[in-house]
Amino acid sequence: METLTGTNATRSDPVAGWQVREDPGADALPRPKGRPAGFDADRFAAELDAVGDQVMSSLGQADADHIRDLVKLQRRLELAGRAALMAGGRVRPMFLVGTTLLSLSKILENMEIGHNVMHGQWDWMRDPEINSTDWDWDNVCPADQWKHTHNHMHHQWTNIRGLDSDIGYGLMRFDPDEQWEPRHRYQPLVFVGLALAFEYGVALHHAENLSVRGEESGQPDSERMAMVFAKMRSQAIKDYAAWPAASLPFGIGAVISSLAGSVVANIVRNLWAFAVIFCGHFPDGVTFFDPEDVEGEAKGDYYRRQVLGSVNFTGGRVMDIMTGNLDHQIEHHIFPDMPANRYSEIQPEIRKICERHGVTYNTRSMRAQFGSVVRKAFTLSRRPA
Amino acid sequence: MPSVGSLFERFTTPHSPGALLGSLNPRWGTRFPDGRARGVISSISPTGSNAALITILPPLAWPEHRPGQFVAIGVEIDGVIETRCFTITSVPRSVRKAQAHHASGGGPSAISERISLGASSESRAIEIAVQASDSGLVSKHLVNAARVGDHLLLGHPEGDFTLESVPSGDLLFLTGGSGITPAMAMLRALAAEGVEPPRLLGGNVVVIHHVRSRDALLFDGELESMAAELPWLRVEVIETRLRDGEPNPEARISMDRLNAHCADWNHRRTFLCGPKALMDDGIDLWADAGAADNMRVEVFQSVHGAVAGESLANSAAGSVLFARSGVAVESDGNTVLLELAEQAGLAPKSGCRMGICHTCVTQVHSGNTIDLRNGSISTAGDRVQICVSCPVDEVTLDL
Repeated sequence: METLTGTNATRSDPVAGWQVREDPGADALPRPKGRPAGFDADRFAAELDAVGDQVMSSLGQADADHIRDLVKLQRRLELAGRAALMAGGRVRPMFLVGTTLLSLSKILENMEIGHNVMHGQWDWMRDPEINSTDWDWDNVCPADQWKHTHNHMHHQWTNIRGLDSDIGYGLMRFDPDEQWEPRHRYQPLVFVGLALAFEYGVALHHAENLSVRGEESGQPDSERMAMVFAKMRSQAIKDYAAWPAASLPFGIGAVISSLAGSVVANIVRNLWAFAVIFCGHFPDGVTFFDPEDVEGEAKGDYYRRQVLGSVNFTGGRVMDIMTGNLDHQIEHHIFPDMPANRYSEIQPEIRKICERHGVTYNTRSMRAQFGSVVRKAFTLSRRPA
Repeated sequence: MPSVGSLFERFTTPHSPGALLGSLNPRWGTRFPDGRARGVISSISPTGSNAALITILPPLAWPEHRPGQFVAIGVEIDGVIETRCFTITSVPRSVRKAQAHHASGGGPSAISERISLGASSESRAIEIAVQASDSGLVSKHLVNAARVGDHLLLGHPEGDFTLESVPSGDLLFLTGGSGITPAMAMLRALAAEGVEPPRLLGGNVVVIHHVRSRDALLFDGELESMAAELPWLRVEVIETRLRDGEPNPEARISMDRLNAHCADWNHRRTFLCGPKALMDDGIDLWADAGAADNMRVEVFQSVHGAVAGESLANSAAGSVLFARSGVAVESDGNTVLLELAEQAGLAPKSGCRMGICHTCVTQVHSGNTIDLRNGSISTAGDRVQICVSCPVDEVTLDL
């Protein structure tokens, strides 16, 4: 979780984090490289913060009920799904019912619950269970590693080449300015493969990135990989051994139904999470940055970069819940620790502020956004002419 | 052979089986990662003035307390879990059952029904007595807003303000306001043995209790009933307000008053619990009499201000680096680490904010911190309660 201090905070060293600019002659400093002429960074930050502060000071019972009810709902869906899959051996349609419920449960667990809880969005409740310290999710990527690479590296350095390792997950070229390499020829295949096995890709990607940046965490690589494999193992035992085995009393058909249902549910969750996340930062119109762009960056520049590097898509309440409110990716990147159920209410105001300050606010239908991502996966796989 | 719990965990990982069950029915989810558990309010009865006796059903296998111990209780107020500590005023269940058995035998020393033991002999419930105060978020909620059936977070019983902590012999309880609660817990436990001087005691008991007015006495006259019925107990109630509501100048504890109420006061093992003014006076008097070793003290008020101002006046103002978030802040030497972290925009886990519940325990990577309660200094690698610790030099915290 980033913490920014003061609207005149400045960042000179990309690793040191925000520091309050104490120089009284701050106005006389040269304009940061990434800041366009006429952009009032301090005012932009102040206007956004006013919206954020208003929400954060109004958190209360209704918000707490939202997340607690959702956790309850998700767990009931999961148990109902597992039970339906057991019945699926005898009654065929129950296989479909069970798979649907389990898929839904896994999507909720990872997105509106897991991702957001691990961001610390619910830490204000002081809940002994729903907090970013203790929470782990139904996903093979260990929570601690996810919190470090996602919350810190990706959120702080969103779409900065070389710093945000989530750009194309290091496997694909979505940034036209990235140097083409022969391996990019296969990226349509990688695209499909990663979509199907997204949770495994994410786990390995995060572990590898922590390894590349070993200086940021004192943990040896072997220990980190052991954590990943232990998590993969316990997840696999649950989905592919424990529940199918528990279905045995209902016949071999129930075992197959439980096993197949788990496999399909994990793939459905992978495909959906992949689509939502790739819609967040890679569609047409999104901006990528160079490390020099953040030199001397003030908080307003940071917010501007978050907006330009993120993409929203449209949808109603169901879309909000199913995407973990990442259809409001822009709002999430401005306020990563604001409870996500509040993003939709601040969205119109955030959009107005962005437009007033000439910061492009990219929002289209999910279909249009994802379509452009798929197109890029193909077009950028070819050697530039 | 894996335990049953770890077998079930194969099905529920990465969550615990208890967490899953708790989502189906809050009573089934017994334990949280920090060791706390869910309890449910089983009765609420008003007592005194703006106070209530509340019984709470803990989960199965909740450890039995010793009379005089307290428990951290968390309630949800506007979405936030607020945690405060309350003395358990009921007698432990095992003692209640033994007493019921004793009474059914019709022994001559059976106590009357006017002396309750805080809960029926069969119930697993525990009782707390809550005095609502204007500034008390949790006490006001429990007295005015809580309903039977509400869920609470329960810590484990804690504290050594107990009969076992002193040698047997004559006792004195010097109490004020809701500070009567640990005394009541111990008196009930002694009374459970009957009207004869209890084995645990081996002497007699004097209670000097200070209360705003007799109407505000907790426990619905039970204290008076005990005094009337138990030959080994004498209770002096001192009203601290006059009829017109003004403070009673005669009520303040003094050497003369102590001598008048209980001539051998400085020879008795004494339990002191009450408002800060009473505690300060009591501690001074016992110290002056050279009897400080006879006294056990229970502080339920926040240490902020009380101890902080004095002990830190000459400590150096430090600085703190929150390692995980990369935020650095300066400290004025009077602000606890938890508040410094919160001022810096972090949201560390915390509970009681007074050094009791251990929710906020955090590792110190480097530098020294001081524990405001006792002045003890931590060093690198220690895990400290950040709600009661201040930095004394340059501290790096795992937050």
